[in-house]
Amino acid sequence: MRIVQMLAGYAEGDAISEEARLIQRYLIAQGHRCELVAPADTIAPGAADECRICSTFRMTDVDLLIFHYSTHSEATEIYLAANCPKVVRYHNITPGTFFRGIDQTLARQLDRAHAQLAEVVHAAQAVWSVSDYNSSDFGAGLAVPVITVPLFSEGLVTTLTPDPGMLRLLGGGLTNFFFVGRIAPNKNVEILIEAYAWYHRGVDPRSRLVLAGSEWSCPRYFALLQLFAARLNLPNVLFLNYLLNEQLAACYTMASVYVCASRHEGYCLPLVDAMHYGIPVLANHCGGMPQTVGSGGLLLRDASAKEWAGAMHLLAHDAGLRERVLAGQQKRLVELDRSREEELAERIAQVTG
Amino acid sequence: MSMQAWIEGQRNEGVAQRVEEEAAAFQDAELDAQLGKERVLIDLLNEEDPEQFMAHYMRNLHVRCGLDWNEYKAAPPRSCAQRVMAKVREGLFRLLRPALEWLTFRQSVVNNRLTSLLMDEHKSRLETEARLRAEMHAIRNTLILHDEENR
Repeated sequence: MRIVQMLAGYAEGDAISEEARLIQRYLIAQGHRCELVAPADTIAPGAADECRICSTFRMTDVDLLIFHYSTHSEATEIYLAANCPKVVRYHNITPGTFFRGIDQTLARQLDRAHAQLAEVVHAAQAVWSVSDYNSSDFGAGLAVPVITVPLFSEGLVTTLTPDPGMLRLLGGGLTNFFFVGRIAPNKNVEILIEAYAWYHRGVDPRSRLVLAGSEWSCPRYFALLQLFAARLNLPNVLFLNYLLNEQLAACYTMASVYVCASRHEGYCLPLVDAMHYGIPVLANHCGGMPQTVGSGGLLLRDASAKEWAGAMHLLAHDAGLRERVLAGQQKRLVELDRSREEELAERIAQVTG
Repeated sequence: MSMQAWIEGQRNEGVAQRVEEEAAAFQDAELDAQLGKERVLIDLLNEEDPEQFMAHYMRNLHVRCGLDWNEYKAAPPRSCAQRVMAKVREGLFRLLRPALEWLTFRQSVVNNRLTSLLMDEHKSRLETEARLRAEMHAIRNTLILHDEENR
């Protein structure tokens, strides 16, 4: 079979691109042809060999088109026009409201993606949604079958050699609270900084809040967060920008607690990575995150900055609570570890007959 | 609305209560006041006018470290960056953090508005970004060491 995966963008370190790569590798191993395509201006410079340009791609003799949908791009129109069996891989669309006034272009793209969601879905034979939370976007009575298929990911390999420079940077016996993700307004990083201010002043000044993630998603928000941390006189809030896998491995290795206060997540892969590294997860009870952590993690809803700080303190220093959370996470990892390749083969057979 | 907590996949009032107790122990009137004041920054997220945002941001940096937007905005980005870095390297540690902020913001300005200028000056934008990022990392490391030495 010839299977094409279409994405709105393609880059290393991006969870959707990673999933597409993993699916591609599996399909090729099974003897299929599988190509990745995306708009020219959203393919990262180093990835041009792996992903082709969708506007010039010949969409003929395609047995299945898997369309990874998370935002609007020129790929949407090409997907809609394609005359072949189609599946929407639904990764969730971040509401544009988070970006209004900060990145108007992105806000408009996201609004448009929301507006086109019904049309996109109705053009498909099936929707594979990464979480039940995402599936709930479609409501009842949809003619197209919607199946929850968790994100395919190898995650960070815990045998990866952590970057020595990063290990040194995060060493010195300080308690490290770690977050990684796009530095974008829906991630609610400001409450982590505020919570850390309380923790740093009230509990342990020999600590760090380590924030990793590209500043290019939303430069204005990134700048604002830096200014916020500076005004609160918190030099131990580290903005590490985009990190290589070895550097990320070092961050997970050195972290005491993984924290994520995001207000909107379809799945949130770093939670799984943190669990693999044996770090207790502290996250917001919203979006797809409760399903992702399952029996693991400590989740908060409607927590103030002080309450986030209190939970950070408990997870870092209360051995009993920490053990309890880690035991739940181990249980969840066993559930996530079952063979996903069989599931993928089964899903593809369902739509291609 | 009061906070809720989940552990082992279940809502747990006991854990929520412990978190609340920990939170109640954080009493620091000075920090409370400071956070109240600085939260205006977060309100900037709702600022619809990019020029207002930039004006506010640059005014802050000017007040804090003497970097004058008007002085720098006409100069090529690389020159600006070098001038800031030169100040930093003179050992003016108090300038470190604002300089980092300024550089980052400057990068975002470059990214949005001055790309063509930057492209003229350098072989590629990526190269420039990588260099600036490396310099920022170096400064940040210095800052951390300095901070730890001070403790």
